[in-house]
Amino acid sequence: MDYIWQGVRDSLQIIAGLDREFLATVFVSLKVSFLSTALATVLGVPFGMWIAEKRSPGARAIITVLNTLMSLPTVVVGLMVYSFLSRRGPLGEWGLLYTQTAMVIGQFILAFPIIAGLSVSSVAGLDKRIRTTARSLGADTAQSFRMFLREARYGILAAVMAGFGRVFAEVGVSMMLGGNISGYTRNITTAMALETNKGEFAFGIALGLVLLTVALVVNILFSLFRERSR
Amino acid sequence: MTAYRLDRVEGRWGNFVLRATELHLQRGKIYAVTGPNGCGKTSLLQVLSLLDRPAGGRVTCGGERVDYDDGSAWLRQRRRIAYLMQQPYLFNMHVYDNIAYGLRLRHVPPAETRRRVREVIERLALEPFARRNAHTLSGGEAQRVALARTLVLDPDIMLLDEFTAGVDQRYVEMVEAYVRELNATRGTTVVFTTHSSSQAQRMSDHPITIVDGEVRACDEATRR
Repeated sequence: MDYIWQGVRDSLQIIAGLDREFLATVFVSLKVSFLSTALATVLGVPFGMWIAEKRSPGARAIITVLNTLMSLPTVVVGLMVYSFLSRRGPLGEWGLLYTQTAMVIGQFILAFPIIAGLSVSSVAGLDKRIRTTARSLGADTAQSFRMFLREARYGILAAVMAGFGRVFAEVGVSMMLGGNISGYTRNITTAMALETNKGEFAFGIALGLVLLTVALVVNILFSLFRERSR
Repeated sequence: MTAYRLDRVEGRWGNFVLRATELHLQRGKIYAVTGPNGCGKTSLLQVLSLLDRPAGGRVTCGGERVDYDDGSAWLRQRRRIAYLMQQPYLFNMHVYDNIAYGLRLRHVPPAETRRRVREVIERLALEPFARRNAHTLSGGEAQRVALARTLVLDPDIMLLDEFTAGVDQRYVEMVEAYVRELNATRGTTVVFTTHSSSQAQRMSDHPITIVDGEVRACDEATRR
């Protein structure tokens, strides 16, 4: 047990010392995950809302596919994107493999079904009278849609948070598409795997603590946002 | 002066057809729409609210023919009407913001919005829950808030679909008095539906009935 406590003590020193490599790793994680989540939000939320409004069998099939893709293994996504971006792949000429862009693409594929799928659920569960009520009070089409979005805000925010949680904590995509290059594509999860293998237990714990802290902060902000309207 | 004129208007909702061959509603009057469940009272209000486009016929509102294809003119006409729907929905926000919503859409200045919202809150005795989220209210409280949200707009025309449904008896009188006051002092045209013949008689001298989907005004004032 001693080595665990020693690792925790050392990890706190690493965090307090603001080690340069440590900060760079955290920065890459935040940057890539925020970008991929933002992209998945911009495309996934409107797509989810659009699908939720449809009643066709095609829409139901798409929802089933989205729900299935929510639990897509990260290494499968990594392998799939790798096959496209590798030198022999159809997009090999673009030279994106082992770049942050490749990580963003992979994480986007992970986040999109979650954000779109959960947006479908949150919008489908909303009261059908929202837009009619807004219009009965004098709203035009855009204003009634804004009110609809506002009413869906908690569900959509929860969807975005779930998407962010998924990509921030994943390791398969980042490892396979980023290549774990120090200072460039090494993020928290790939660094944790590497440092633990090297026996640098404290560094791994320090990164793990950051991971947990970010998750905690995101959840606290969400709770505060909800509380504010009560 | 005319509030509404419906000529050979026909509205369709599934198998149900509502017809108003010739209906003429005058400004500043209170009209009570009565009839059994499913006769088309709510459908008539939906046509009058201009939210539902009839399948045929001509609707004139405030002397102006309603052009459903002219977005800005249609919106301008709709904003002269306040419509309290049956089983209204309150937005997931504070009671105050729910009431202020329609005023903000109409770009009423903030000071004026505050004054009018406070006034209606006081008139309908909503102070005890004015700062609460609307989704925490009981059915009767929610109905009064929805009514306040409609009355605060000070519209030319007010359409009230069973506006006292679920409201405690002690508040019904208060609400009715406020509606009558707006009609008397502001000249607001009121069209309301009710299942209560006593409420129809108390509030209005101008009954409208719907028989087999045909809208009929029952006095000379409303029949052209």
